[in-house]
Amino acid sequence: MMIYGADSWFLLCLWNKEATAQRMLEEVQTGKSHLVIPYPAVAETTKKLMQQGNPAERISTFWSMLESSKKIRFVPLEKTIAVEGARVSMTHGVPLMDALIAATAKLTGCHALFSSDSDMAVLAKKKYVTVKSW
Amino acid sequence: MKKRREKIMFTDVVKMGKKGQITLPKLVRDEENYRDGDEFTLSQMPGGDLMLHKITEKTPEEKLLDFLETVPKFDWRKAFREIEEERNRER
Repeated sequence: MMIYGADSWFLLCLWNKEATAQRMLEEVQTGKSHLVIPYPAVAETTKKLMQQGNPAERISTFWSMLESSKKIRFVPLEKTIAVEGARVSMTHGVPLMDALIAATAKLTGCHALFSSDSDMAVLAKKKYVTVKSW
Repeated sequence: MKKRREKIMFTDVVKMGKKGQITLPKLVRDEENYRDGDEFTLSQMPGGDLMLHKITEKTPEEKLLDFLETVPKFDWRKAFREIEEERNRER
């Protein structure tokens, strides 16, 4: 069973029913994969969905539906992750948001993080996390 | 979740057992992925025909995909580029 971390990029892909994101959700459904969603990615995605004119209720339904899956775990930004995120940001010179999301994936044992962010690619190059995009 | 492929109409003769039991042909069970313990609704039509319908509880992931059919789409690549720019401003 694979565990994947979701950056905001993946969540936006999913909202838009992009084919690969949809396939990943199908993998989650069959139990082949589990998904980890970091709280900072929830905040970022919510803001973007609001900017796109989506009503709060619709966005809230999206999160509730993801939460209702036993194979999807929302991970709060707790102290260990926050401190690790700060360290990664400092050490590798990446923005704090990227570092917090990557740290969440790392500390929750994700096999890969779904992201197309160029700074995530830097962290992948430095072998901090494995990054997948399409 | 899998897309159903086009199906042809299927007709077969089945025999009722002593307690009114009828066995669904294997071809149909395999095709529809019916398993022991699956529940069905049986409806009698006005003309007397019987209609069998499998009761399915959708998974949370299926419900999510149904929900996503109803939401307006946008240029998510552009949206993520904006997120990336915002992240970089806070570097």
